[in-house]
Amino acid sequence: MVRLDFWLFGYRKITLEGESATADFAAKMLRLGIVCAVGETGEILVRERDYSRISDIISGQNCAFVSESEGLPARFRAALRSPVSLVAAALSLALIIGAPSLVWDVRLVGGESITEETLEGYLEPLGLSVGSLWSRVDTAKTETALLAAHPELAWVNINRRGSVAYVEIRETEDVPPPTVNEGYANVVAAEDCIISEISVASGHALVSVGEVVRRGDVLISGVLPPESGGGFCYASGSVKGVVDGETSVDVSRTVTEKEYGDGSATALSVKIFNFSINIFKIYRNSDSECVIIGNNEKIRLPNGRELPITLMREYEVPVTETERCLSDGELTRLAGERMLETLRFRVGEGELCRASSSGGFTEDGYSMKTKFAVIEEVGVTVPFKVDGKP
Amino acid sequence: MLKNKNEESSAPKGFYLSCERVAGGVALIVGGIMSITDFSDSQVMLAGHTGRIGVAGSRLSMTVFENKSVEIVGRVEEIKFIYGKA
Repeated sequence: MVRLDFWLFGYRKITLEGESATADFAAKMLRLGIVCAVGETGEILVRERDYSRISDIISGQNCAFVSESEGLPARFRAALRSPVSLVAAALSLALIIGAPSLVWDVRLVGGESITEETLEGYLEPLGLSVGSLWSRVDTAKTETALLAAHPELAWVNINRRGSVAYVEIRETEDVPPPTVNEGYANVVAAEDCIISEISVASGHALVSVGEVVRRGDVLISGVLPPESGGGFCYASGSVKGVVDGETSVDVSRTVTEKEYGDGSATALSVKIFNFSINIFKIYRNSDSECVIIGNNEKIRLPNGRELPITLMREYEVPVTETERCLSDGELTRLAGERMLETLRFRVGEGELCRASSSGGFTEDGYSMKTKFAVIEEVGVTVPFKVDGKP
Repeated sequence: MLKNKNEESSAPKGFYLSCERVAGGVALIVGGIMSITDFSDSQVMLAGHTGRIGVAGSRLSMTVFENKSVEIVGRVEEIKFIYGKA
């Protein structure tokens, strides 16, 4: 076997006549400090760089054979001289020079309904497609032409990165036309409240901040005063007021609690790609209430990659219901939680500005009452007619 | 480095060699070689300062290094240490 360093840097193979000649030659190499390898067949390998130093010794010996340079450099030189390598080099050079002048790919950036295939169909008549020459592509003109030809596109930008065309698009959005209110209307109070904020878009404000209004009072009138030119309009605007309210929560002392027992497997199946194999399934009618839990587990390799195999298990968990009496502390805490939920639902998008709660134990449990004030939108639009006209 | 004077290498006194198993048999590296007196695929005779070393076996090949050491690879069956320069 040829040593790796011999093969990497080149070597010569020398064959001498007679075993004593081989031993003599090796002894001379030893004295000169030249590395050489002697094979079991008696052939001597010498590094190419040492060959010139020992040429005198070789000429003095009775050499049967001295090979040409061998190893990687010799192979490389031979490959360079062959016509196949020259053709390959010329082709590679042509590819390196010519490849960037072609459009290799068209990629779509953005766009929801338009696919890459559709976009390529749009761009092909305009001269931009895979394989076309970059020198014949004018991105600015293509952008303009694409926008003019396809009204569904709102904005187009073509970028060249390397030899790939990145086409960035924005699609036109169908915006519904603004609703035009026809006829006449007033904005009236939906609740009894104190006005805290009023802004008029159209119409004439009849109330100011701090005024107390009753439900049904006109807040913004659709009847314009003479100083504003008179006439009627569709009043609109935002009116916010402080609305007082009261809510109550009753909590029973006895509650029903569910206890879940130990689950037992009722079905097991293996899904490989889209094929399902049922390992087992237990069919039975259960008298008591139970919960069926499905568990799908994907098989993963140690490196985290998912295999297309899924283990699908089903468990049946028995449920038993028991009744329990709550202590006073638990009752009040539960009532407080429920009251908070009720208030949150009642306030909605409004702003809670005051709340006071009171409660007491009853025969059944606990009753909690809360008085609150919330700032919310109180104006509702009520259309009206003038002489039978809407 | 040897910690104890009693821990001598496997070679007899005056000879420098190490041996390890490799593919194709063993690799026997012998140091301090002055000359190679005989070489064939079954026998190698090396001459050192203290005396001669004879290696017998089969499929023997040899590599000569710059630092006066010689590596013999093959199926080594017998190693002879001969004191003196006869």
